[in-house]
Amino acid sequence: MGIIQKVLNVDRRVIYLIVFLAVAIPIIFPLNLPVTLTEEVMGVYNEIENLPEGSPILIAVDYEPSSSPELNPMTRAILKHCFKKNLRVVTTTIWPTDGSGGSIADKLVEEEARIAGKIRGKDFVNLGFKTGSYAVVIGMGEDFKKTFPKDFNGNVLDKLEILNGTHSNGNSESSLPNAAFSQDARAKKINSLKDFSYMVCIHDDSSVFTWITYGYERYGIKIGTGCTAVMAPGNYPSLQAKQITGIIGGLKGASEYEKLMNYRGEGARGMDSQSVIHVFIIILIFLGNLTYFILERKKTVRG
Amino acid sequence: MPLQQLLGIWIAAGLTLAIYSFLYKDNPAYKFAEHIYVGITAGYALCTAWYNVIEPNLISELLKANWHNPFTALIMTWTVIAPALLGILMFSRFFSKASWVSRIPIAFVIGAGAGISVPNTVQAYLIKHTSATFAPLIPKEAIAWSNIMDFINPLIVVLGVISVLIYFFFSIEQKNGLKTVSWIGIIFLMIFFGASFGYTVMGRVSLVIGRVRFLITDWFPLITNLLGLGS
Amino acid sequence: MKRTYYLLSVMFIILSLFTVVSAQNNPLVIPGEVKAMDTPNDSADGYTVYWPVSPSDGEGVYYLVSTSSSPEGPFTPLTRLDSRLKLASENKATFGFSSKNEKLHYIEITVPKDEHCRPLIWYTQIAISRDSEVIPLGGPVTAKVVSNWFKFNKFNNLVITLFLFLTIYYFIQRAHKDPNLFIRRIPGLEAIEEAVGRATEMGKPLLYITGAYDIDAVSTIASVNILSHVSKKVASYDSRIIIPCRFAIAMTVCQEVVKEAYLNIGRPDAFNVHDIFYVTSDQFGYTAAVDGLMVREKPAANFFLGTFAAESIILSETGASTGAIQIAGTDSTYQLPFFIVSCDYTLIGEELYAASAYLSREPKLLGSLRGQDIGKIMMVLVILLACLLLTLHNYFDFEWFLFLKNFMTAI
Repeated sequence: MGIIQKVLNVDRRVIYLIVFLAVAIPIIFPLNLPVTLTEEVMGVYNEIENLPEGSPILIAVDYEPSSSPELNPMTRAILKHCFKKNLRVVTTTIWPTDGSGGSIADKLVEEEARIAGKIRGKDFVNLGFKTGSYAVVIGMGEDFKKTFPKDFNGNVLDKLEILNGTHSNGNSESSLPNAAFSQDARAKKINSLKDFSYMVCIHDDSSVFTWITYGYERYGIKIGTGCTAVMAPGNYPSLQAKQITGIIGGLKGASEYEKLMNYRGEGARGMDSQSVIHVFIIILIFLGNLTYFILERKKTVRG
Repeated sequence: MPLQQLLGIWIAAGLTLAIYSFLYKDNPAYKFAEHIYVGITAGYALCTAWYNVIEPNLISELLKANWHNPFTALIMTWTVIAPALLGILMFSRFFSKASWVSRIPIAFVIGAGAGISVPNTVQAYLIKHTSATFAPLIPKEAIAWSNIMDFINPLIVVLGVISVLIYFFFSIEQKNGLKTVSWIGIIFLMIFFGASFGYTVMGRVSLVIGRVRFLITDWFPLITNLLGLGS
Repeated sequence: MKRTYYLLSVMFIILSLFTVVSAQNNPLVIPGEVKAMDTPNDSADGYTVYWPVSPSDGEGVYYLVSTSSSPEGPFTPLTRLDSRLKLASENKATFGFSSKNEKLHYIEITVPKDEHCRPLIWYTQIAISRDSEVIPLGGPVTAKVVSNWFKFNKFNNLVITLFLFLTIYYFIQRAHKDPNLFIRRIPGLEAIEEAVGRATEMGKPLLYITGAYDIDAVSTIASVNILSHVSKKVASYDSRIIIPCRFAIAMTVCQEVVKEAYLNIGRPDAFNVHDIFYVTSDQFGYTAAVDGLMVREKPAANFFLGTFAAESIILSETGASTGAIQIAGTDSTYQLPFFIVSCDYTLIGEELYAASAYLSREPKLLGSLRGQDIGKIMMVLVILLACLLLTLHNYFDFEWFLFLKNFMTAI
């Protein structure tokens, strides 16, 4: 058997073993490879960065536990960013089994809030899951508190400070006569989807299309999306049509967001293994094609 | 470490290894994990449906009403009772003679769903995405070489959309010019599939990374501690 | 030399101070009249106030908006607008496409409602301001708020939907009269025949999967139509077909379809209802079970027809590793790449529906396929026309060109 046949007939278990090692070694000995920023991720980051302090932001955690390794890093990075900017964070999920009925969002927002020293009900709230998909989005657009009378923990939403807004002690322009007219983002009440300054939909399924179709088109809420790598190419037409401001695609997107937030989290650490495996896969594709063409050529020469 | 967390890590690690053992070959450990998974997911779906849909939207709403005055209670809860009845009608499918009844709730769902989604989808995808495709065919003024792609990219999008639309044209035989355009359409499709495939490899590898990291950072220290190797 | 430096510095300071002072003394210019109109296309939410732009508009100049229930006041501050923003040209739904809209500011005022949900009479006062200077723009304005029956800014949606609806309806009626309505043959159909033949030769079963959705999804219906054709072949070749199902209702339909195929061929005794069974509705639970099935039963041919999600690659890779001939067809664009690399033939997107219509000659499928083709032609024409208009607009700056261009690009 020639070397070409040997390459073609290599036992797939050998490949699995190499993949395992390529994943495991960079986890044990991090390579700290550089992360380059892309416009798509900046599209989400800049929107959040430019929000005034106290602006309400909606984060839809529409993914299943099975997608957590890929999507949790970006959810954490976005939450860190929101809490750093002192935004009012509202999390929810509209996908039936995704987000385990809101428990993924609850766990992540709770952990990140604890790090940032934020208070539930004042700085953040998790609404949990509500059945109805597009009907929920429309309901939130018409009357937010009627659609979600209670949060994930059973607290009455109407009584929470986060939705009713708080007045600040004044701002730098308070001496001017038009100061009373300048809107304080913290004082903004949340009665509808329209009242949110921005939303990020983190999804492993097509829930972003529901948010675009009903949230953006009907109620004009600005949307950024974070998604599994599988879903990323499908979001580009919406980006081109300016229905979304940016895309955070998979672990790569998460690592970029972590870089923007100046820390190396699970995303950046995972990218070490990703990069090694990508090189390995490129080599395999190259070898596979090379051997295929050599064999084809041999066949034609013989034929 | 609390016992429940310790137990959780051992179970998760055991099941992960059992499922990955399929990569070597089919074996009883994989079958065991597979059957557990199938059973748990069915139970999980039931629990999610109960605690997130039926209990908060139906049971608790019905219990809230004051049933000492049934007439008022019925009026107060009809928005819950009517959909529940429609839902119950779905079960008629299990009886072949009465299965036609299930068409009533299906008609309701499809009618309302199509009514809401058709205009919104036409607006969000057909009109918005089509209008995002439009681009001038000749630039207004001379463009610098460094910005040439800003002009060319929209034209590539126009060509791609038109050729792919023609590829999916079934009413006439694809011959001559149509065949050429349709061939260009296939090339665009294949480029999309390639890009999509690349992205997906990244996605799938992320899942492996998640599992391997769990094994290395959560489970492996437990073994080293058990063997007295931990620091 | 030193003196020259001093002189130049002093001159510079005087000049800059003079510029700053003259800018401060430049009085605020009051633009034209403030007007109000009912906001069109809404359900009595409020009215729109608009006024011309001022030559003073720029950094640090704001329009202050306050509202009251009485023209005498007191007026409550509502918001302030940056004078460089909020131009009527951004709101085409209310102001249309005229180029004059670039010279208008606007604000939509939401009017409170009484206990009978009727809008109150509500007054708005606009003032222009810079630093401590505030000048009202005329008196307060108001407009009668009415609920609109029709959203005229969505009229294009109605036209497009009606056009598609009528075209599809027409072709369905035509397909009822003429079931031989032409549809080109999809190359993938030969591959289906070949797969069934090969399974029979090898004496191994076929595996058929109808996708991730229940029977109410069009893709599942299309898949079941193809199943009907496949199972007839299976029955006539005396082969065996295994169908693991994700939904109980889809399972019942599959059982009926296969049973009917066996009946049509005249071999009802060969039909085994236990080969079509329910697994679980969970995505990966189902996938794990089908994977196991593929490895144990080693089917000679696998069919994956319908809508699929992340399970596509897992199923088709396992199928490929068992050496089965694989035919896939899906409308989920995300999954097509995996089927293309791991299957022998893949029906791409709408080809699944076309294959189903071709085989079943079902008037609804045939008609909608033809109707959609007309829709595609229209779309191609609209894109070409819009591109042409955009190009011409670069050279001819007529108002109607602008209107047409905006109409096509900005709605």
